[in-house]
Amino acid sequence: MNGRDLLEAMSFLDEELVAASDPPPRAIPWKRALSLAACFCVLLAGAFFLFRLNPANDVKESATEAAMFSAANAEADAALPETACDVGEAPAAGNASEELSYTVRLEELTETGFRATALEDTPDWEQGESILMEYAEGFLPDALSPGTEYRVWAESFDPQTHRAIIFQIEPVS
Amino acid sequence: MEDSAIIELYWNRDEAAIRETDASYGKKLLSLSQRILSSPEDAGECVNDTYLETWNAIPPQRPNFLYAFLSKICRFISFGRLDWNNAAKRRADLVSLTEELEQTIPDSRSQEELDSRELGRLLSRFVTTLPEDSRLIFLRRYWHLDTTEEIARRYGFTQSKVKTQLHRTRAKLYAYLEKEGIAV
Repeated sequence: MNGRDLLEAMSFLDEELVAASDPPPRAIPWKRALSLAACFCVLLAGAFFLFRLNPANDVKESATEAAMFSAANAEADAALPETACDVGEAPAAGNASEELSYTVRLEELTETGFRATALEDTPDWEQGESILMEYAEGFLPDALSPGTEYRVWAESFDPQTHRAIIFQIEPVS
Repeated sequence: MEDSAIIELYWNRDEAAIRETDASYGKKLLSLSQRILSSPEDAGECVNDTYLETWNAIPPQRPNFLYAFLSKICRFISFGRLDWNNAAKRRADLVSLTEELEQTIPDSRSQEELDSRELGRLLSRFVTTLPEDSRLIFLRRYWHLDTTEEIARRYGFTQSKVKTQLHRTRAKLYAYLEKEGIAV
């Protein structure tokens, strides 16, 4: 038996299993929905602002309208990623969200990064695994110390080589 | 048209069944066959052969999941037509799929041989042990022959997560096949 045999034998899988893997694509994940909602709020706020700038429109700003505008702005600022309407999961450096970062312990420094031990299970690796962390292009962290726990933000991970490209790091407080 | 209505057309030997099948699933079946065969003409012929096989199979069969039934036949016919030894006619991404699955086969000499149908039953049992995300990703990759990018886009995952899940599932499949005593 070889890989070809296995691939062809997949044709004999239970139809119920196959059917379950072919529903319509999942509903938009909540993060994407939030990003879309944030974009919409920014557009609304922008349209409102432009409308007010037009001298032909003598709009008196009420306390309620001011509050709505501020709320829309604050909501958009809080939810919008670094790149407007970007639904990608990796946040830009300096604007990383807590939930996309992982905790590791730095074991030894290398020329292009460091080797670390994962301190928690993540979608990319399991607790206890040794990961080779390499710095993304243009990223150079401050001095790092072996034996210290850090929180890292990875933009990619190769499961074959256990190599992650990180774009941000900070010590665990 | 609903699947149940299409199946009724087959049972009533109404040739509109083929038209409705093509309208509902023709594009998906063609896409599936083209992931196996590099020639669009060959893929088109396989889809037509699928309709003929389906016409001959229903009745007496009454599938619960029509697309799964159709695509199973299409997959079978397409692989049957594929000349694995002809590199010009073999899709490069199909080769990488077989190489990925090659990693799951234990290297042991004292194991039993299985035919495709029995292997398929074994794989079904294995797939039901997987968590939902892993199961869906595994099936999209090795049954529907999606690329990792397509799978990531379908479920809102990163490609990294898809590749990691596939890597881990293949490792589990290796352990499962080894436990079941499967031959090289």
